[in-house]
Amino acid sequence: MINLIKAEWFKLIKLTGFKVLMLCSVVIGNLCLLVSYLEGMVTTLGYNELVISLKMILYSLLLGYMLAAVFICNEFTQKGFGNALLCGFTRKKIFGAKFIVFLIGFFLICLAFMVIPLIIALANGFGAELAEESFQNILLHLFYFVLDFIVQGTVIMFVALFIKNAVVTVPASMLISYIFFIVKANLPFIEKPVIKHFMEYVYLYQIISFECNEDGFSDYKYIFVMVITLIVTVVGATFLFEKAELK
Amino acid sequence: MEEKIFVTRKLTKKYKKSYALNSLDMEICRGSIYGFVGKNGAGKTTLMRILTGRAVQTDGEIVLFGEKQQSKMYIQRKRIGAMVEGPAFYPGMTAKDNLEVVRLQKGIEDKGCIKEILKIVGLEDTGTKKARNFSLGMKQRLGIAIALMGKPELLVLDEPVNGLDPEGIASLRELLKRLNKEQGMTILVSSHILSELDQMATCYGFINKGKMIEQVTAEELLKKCEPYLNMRVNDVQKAADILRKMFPGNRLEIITDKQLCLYNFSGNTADVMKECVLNEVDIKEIRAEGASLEKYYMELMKKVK
Repeated sequence: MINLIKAEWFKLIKLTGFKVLMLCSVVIGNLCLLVSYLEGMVTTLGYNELVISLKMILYSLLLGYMLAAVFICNEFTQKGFGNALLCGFTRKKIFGAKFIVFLIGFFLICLAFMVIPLIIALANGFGAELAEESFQNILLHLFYFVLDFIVQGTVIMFVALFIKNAVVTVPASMLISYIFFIVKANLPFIEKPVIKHFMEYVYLYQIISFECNEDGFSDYKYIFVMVITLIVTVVGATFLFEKAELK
Repeated sequence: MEEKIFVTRKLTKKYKKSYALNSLDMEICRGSIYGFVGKNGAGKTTLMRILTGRAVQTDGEIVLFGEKQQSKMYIQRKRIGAMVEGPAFYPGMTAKDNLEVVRLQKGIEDKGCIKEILKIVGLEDTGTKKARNFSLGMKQRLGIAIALMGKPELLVLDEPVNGLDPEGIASLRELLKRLNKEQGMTILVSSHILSELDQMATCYGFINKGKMIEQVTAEELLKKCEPYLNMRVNDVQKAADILRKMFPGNRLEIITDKQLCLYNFSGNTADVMKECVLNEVDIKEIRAEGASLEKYYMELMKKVK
């Protein structure tokens, strides 16, 4: 399987789309920093900004889906998976290698988003004393960030494997995600107890609650929902790939 | 006994209500060049997709390099190189990078093999040109190069001459014959250009509507296709003497006391008739028969209908 991972990594770094997405991520990170500062959301260019950027996972959704489109969906049209089948590997291993490298690529894109805020935060000495409490806070946000991105990445992979078409994947998945955001933010019926109880088990709801510091947010429920979502989407994605007719 | 490296028994592939393959029985022997012949939609590509693991059969059995178990077949697929439904490559990469991907996937240590294979297919001078900017023929050759990586024992090519110019077609034909002869590579090739298959295949499979109509060796097909003169006469011995004198090198067969056949006939029936009349041999019937692969295939399809 290491051979497969090497080959997938080679493909990723050669992909023009990936390089463009990395650049977009850095640019968006810059713009978000600038907007946050201009709107007075942060008054210091240090610790707070770093923490906020760790919660910016939702902004990287679009970039994640675009990476999935060029790195996963295009394999179906370009018959890349068909060639991998002739290298003595099972479909599970081929899927596994693709999944691992996709997550690494998505992680690098999310990380690129934070490069500028991190540099500024370090340059400004975090804008506050780096005490035990603030350090713990960063680690906690980092943990949530990593969990967020793994679950988001897995869901993106599942959607890409389901749709298999690069052109359709990005708009379809963005439609699903952002409609959810709009509904949650604007429709009062979401707050009705029965509906809210159901919606709380949707991973997007938990992410929004965390990022918006909503009342009633529970760490345990958050981790539980994320882990269940991860398991279901990994199993689902593996099943989809095993059964797929490949070109 | 020749080793059979690929066997199918009652292989069936169903899509919703239609059968792409319908109880197909097929055998490919090691060291052969198997010409797979059938019209569009006959099931050739479906068979190749199942062979290479891209699709799974609905029913029936396949045996690949002696392996029957579906769950273990992936190991044997490492011994196959294939180009099915067109060349599979990454458009944003160069020819060299495309082969590098395959080299990494197959765990081939020798990096020099890339240069060697590019030279074999005539793409050694493409440099930094991206595959998306290749001509159709170059893309086809890149697909073949990818299939050749790792020196496969079985090469599966689905209409490999598409997009190639006459020089390219001849070059590919010679390459395949050389690989078969020098490396003992078994080749499964489908083509619509029957004259091309005619020049290299050692055995043939004719498929129609998902079923194997006939499997023959090249020798058997030659006998069936060999042009011959079929005569019904009153004096078969006298007629045989006349034909032996006119065509001394040709094989003559006396079928019954009234009928005889002269094989590999390329002469003029009018001349034969003239000689027979001069020697007082009554001709009841005279026919020049036999066919090219194309004609044989057309006749076969007519019979099937």
